[in-house]
Amino acid sequence: MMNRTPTLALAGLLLSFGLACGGGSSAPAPQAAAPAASLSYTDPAGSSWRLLKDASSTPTRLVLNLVGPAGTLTRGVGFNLKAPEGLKFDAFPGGMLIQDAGVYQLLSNALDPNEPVALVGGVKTGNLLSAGIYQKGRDQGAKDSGAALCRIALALDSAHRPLAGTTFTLSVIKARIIPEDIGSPTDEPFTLDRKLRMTDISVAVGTVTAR
Amino acid sequence: MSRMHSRRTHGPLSALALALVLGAGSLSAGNPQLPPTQLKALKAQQPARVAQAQQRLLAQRAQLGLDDRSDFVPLHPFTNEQGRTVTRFKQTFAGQRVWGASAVVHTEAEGTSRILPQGVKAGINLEGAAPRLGAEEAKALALRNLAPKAGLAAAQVKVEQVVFPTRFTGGLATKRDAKRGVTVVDPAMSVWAKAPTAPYVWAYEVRTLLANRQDGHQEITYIVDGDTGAILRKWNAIQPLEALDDTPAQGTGQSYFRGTVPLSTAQAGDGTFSLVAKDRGTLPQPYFESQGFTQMGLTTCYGTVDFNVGALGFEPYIGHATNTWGDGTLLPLAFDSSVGALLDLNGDGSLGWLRGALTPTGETNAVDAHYGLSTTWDFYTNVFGRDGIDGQGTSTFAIVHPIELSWWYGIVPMIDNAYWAPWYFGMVFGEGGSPAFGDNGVFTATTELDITGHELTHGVTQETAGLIYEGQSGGLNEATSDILGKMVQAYADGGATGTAIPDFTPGDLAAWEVGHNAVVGHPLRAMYKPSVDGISANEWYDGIDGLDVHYSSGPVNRFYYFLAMGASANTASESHSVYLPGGMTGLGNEKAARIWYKALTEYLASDADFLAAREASITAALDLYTQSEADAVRRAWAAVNVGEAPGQAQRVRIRFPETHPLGSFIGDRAVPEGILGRTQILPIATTVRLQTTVEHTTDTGVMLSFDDPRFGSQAGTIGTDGTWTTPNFTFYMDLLPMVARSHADPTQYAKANMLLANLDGDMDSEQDALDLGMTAMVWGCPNAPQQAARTAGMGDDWDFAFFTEAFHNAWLPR
Repeated sequence: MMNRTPTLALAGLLLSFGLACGGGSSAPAPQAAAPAASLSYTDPAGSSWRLLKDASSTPTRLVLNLVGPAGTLTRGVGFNLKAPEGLKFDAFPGGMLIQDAGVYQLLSNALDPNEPVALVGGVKTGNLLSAGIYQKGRDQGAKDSGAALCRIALALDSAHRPLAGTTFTLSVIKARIIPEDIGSPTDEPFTLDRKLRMTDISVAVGTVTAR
Repeated sequence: MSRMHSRRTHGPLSALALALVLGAGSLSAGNPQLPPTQLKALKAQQPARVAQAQQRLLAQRAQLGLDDRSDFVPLHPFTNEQGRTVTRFKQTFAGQRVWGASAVVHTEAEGTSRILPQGVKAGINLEGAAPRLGAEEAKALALRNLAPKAGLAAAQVKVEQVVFPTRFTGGLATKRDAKRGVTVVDPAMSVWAKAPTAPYVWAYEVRTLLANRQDGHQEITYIVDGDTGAILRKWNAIQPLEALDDTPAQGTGQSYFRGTVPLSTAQAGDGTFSLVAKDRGTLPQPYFESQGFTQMGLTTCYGTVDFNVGALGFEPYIGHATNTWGDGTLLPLAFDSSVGALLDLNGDGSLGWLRGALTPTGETNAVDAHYGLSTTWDFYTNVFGRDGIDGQGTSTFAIVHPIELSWWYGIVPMIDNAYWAPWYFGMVFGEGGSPAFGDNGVFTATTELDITGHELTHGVTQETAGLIYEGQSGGLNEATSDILGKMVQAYADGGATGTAIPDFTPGDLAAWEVGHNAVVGHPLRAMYKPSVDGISANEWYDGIDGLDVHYSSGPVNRFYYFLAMGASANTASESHSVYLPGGMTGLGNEKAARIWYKALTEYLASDADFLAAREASITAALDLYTQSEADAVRRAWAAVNVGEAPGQAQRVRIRFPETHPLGSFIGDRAVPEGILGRTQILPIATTVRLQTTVEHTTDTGVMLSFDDPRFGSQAGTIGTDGTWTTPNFTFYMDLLPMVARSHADPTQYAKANMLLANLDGDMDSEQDALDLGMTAMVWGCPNAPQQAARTAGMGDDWDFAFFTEAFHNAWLPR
């Protein structure tokens, strides 16, 4: 139904070249292979921001947790994740492309039964998932990021099914967190302006292999 | 444009078509008037007949989808000239009123009865007899939202526990920016409220009244969820265009609009006169009574400001040495831009009023208003046998030269507006506008007779059908005031004193212009062709609910004009309709008015739409007259694209997707103006494909365009396949209207509004999910300088609602 504008598409492409190291599929396996039927994932190394395989993954559906460094307090995170052709982002029950892992407090203290939560995800042209999960305002304290904060899911794209043995490199184009210190409503406007900023992060991503 | 599909499959749904007919009520044509003696006997039996009707209604509870906790309380029954006793019942559950719910029972002269259940709200199954919150808590929540500038103590409040049908949950409100001529979002009246999942909830209706220097006159009413405290709905009860012991007297006045007119007045024991029509009204004026003194009759007052308590108020015109009032000329606007309102003061300076309000020139407006009160009262009494506005003889009053507050000027005259004020059970007539006030001068004065009749008819509607003041029912409400206000004028113009309403002179289109002499330059509304004002609709179309009720009244006004005066077959005529190209012959004012009044008082439910009004008026015509008159009603409705005339084929129907159905966060019942069921929120600089549905034809092609050329040049172009790249900027809170017209039948069209949102909260030139983080950070932080993060510009949950809807509309999947 909707497409990005040429302007946004171009911007995304430039960012892809400038910031990402991959996004395309690797060379096909040397032998003729059958169409892939399942996916496997190798977690990235390190203890900073990373996407780790969730235990709920199945052979045909890869669920990845976004995990941050232990001890770092944050109030939310958003990221743009690009997947190459052959993979598609998959929805969770309810139709969302991002699932809350229960760490962030998504409802305020407003006691409004209709209160909307700051949780959003969608796929933009170029198979770019744009997703975010955030605490609203400052009613709740910041949370330790060393746990699964949210989930996304990948599956084989039946319209562009890769061959078995194909490996994929996912790339996080852009990612930011809401830091612990977001100032106070009583702060001077200049101070508040400086603190109400999201902070760039790098997210390590593992390797996906079609099998 | 959206993957959401409308639950509606055709035009206005007919509530009446679903009517459950119980008993053997007569639908036969031409019920004659009963002999006076028989009618008198039936009226004497009215209490027993009402009780019988109530029992019959209660006996049908199971069939109506109600359990034994539901009850019906009679309201204002009356017995018409055919001997039919009409009883409108308030529906209750566990002893509490069900909001917007009613039933009507017709008890015919011979004793048979018929239940009209279209206003009944079925399936109520609430546990317990009371909500979790108490009335005081609900009051506190409403007052917190009201936030009177003069302090909480300045608000008068009435609280009533009700059962609230959640489909009426409100949401985003719009208002008309008259100076710019566009519809815009109204943050002040918007309510963040998504309908609870239950179809009914315990709630409180909290009515508030503010009338003071800081807040002016407001009558904001709230529905507060009795369990959660959420405000589910909010509206201004004012419907705009708001102890004497004397003897009756007859005076004369020099009016502005109607020359020398007779005035019913009162004479005090000291020989002085007052503008109080003591011969009309048998129950005391309720607002006066609430202030501690009894006032009978129709009273005309002038606005005041009490400097001791800092409150706006009013005083009756009393103590006049002669019984001759006014001089036929209008008071110059008592205003100076350097000081605000020019005031006269009483002896100790404690009370002020607009300069000259008590002079003969100042009395001219009062003469018009007072004459209008009496004439309208007499019209209802003589023509319809109705005892005043509420049918009970309750006294009412009018205020001329009202005063209000402006942040810029301080105390100012109220200009260019007149309204019925339900809390007061009275009317307010502002001054004409003036360029000195920074106004184009819409009105010379607001007291023309048809306007007076219009405003008082709001009171009649309030006491009968209770048409909800928004959407199609709001258009019906406004049109009813235009229609019967115009009939008041016809009655007076024709010099009538009996039961019949004279016709206007054929071809006199000015007679069908509302406020023809009161408005500068152009009529307020033209009933023969409402679109001459550049805003009103001539006919029904899918999406008309999004129009302000003063403009969605257009098709109903035109229907009535056609019904009374006929439609022309001449395509060059102002009274030609492409929907009835052959034209029709009108029935005249007398029949048309009786049909409409009967539909209003005996058939229409509070949430009626145009199609329900069509069914009601057809039935009323059959009640009163013959098939011929009923067919005229069908033709007149067909001429405004509501239903088909006898012999006409089914029409093509076209519609946009319904993105915000009843009860959604934006809400199909947003108040006070506008219904946003078809409004789509989209991000800027994004390519979308607009979608429509076309029915009743094999050619489903449409032509899409912007409905307002002022936006069109900036908003880009729409491709033949419906593709549109939204512009790279917002129109702030303006709604961008769009129209889709059928290829198969270009007379059929639909309208929707687009609202563009810039999602780039972090200002990195990309709209993505990361921007929502900025919105989250500034939520609840009013002094945060990051304006770009306030997607809806409101700094609250509306920002999230706008962001997520626009985001999901642009990037799949939802």
